[in-house]
Amino acid sequence: MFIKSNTKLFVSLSLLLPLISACSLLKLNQQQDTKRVSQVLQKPGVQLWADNCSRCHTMRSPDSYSDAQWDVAILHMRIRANLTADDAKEIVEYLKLAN
Amino acid sequence: MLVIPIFLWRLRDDLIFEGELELELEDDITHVSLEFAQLSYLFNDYVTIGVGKFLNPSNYFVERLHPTWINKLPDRPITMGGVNSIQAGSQLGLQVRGGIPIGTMRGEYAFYVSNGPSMRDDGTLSFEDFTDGNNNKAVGGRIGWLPFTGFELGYGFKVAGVDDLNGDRLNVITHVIDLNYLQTSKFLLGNIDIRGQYANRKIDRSSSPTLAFENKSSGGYAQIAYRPSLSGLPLLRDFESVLRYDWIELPDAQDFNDEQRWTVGLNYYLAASTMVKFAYQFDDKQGVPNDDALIFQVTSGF
Ligand code: HEC
Repeated sequence: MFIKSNTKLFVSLSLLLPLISACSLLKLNQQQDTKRVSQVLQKPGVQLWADNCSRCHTMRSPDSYSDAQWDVAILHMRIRANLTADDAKEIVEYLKLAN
Repeated sequence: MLVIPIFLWRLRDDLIFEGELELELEDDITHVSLEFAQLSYLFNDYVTIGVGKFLNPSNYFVERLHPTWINKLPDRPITMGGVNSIQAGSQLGLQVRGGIPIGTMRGEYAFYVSNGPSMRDDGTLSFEDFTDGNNNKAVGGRIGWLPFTGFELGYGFKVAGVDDLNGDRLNVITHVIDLNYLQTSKFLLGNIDIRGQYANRKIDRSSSPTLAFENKSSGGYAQIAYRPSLSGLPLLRDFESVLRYDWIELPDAQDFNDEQRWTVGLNYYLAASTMVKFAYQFDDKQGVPNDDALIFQVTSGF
């Protein structure tokens, strides 16, 4: 859909997002983040999941699919993204533990 | 409106079929086209063999970033579509691909043989290859190197032959490089996503008088996106801003117009793969009056 209009405001807003977000620095709640991360970090494969699965698109939380669905999705991603067989295996094991 | 259903069918642990249709609903008519349909066999840990119609492995953007719920802007870079498209979208053939661990680094490869393109009368290429029109195959591939997390550098190529108006066989050689860098950090309060791809294609000079020019095309895009996903303000976390420059340089001949664009986008994620995209595009095309536009898109992946 194409709409023609004057959008200086829009362009400035988009470009300013990094700045706006920098202003929120002081409110960063580190404690909460660290706690959640360390809980998940105990499971194997989590680092590989985080490193690989955000490379092309946003990550879905493990609980968005069942074991069988993750099997198919990871097989698909292993091929599309040329993941190594070992990385794919560890990632799918992690997802099945965490879902 | 566009609906693109994907079908995934795991036949065995080592055999998977993937197919994707594109259904375009326009007024009262529905156009159906096949995006890809491929059967893949996992031969071993390092080699997967695919046959069918697959997305072009030497085109990182098309193979991995073009679905609307992945692409951060509402449209594709100029070199990836339309009559002047430099690289093919999908093609019919056979490919061999895989990932290889190199210590903590990763390597990846894909090589393929497919039906070749054909040449239109104006010297541009058509990649519609369901039937092998000129009995000539294209050979191509890509290798990628991931030295550390979040970074990938790739080189792709394709060599093919086409017949011109006179029926003379001309060589077509395409080189592509792509670069991808992603970083999520507390320092950045979120993540940045940097992409770039450049392609260069040269077709032998034709002896036909209407094609008496050097048939060279090149172009690509560079894009940076930022999402304050770790911002202290929850409201900001689902916004993302994007800036892209894309360009194409076409042969110095009539009816070929070089083009450059700057696109600024603002996205809002409703869910991991559902987003609303707004973009403003400054389009500078040779011989065409100001073509700037505001583009809007809502998209959802499966
Ligand atoms: C190299 C880029 C790339 C990487 C890395 C990647 N994906 Fe994908 N992913 C895609 C593309 C492209 C699609 C869309 C497939 C299509 O529709 O053709 C997709 C689709 C999906 C889907 C939707 C269902 C499907 O299979 O199509 C899920 C779920 C998914 N990816 C999960 C993951 C997970 C988990 C990882 C980490 C192992 C991952 N992805 C890594 C590119 C990638």
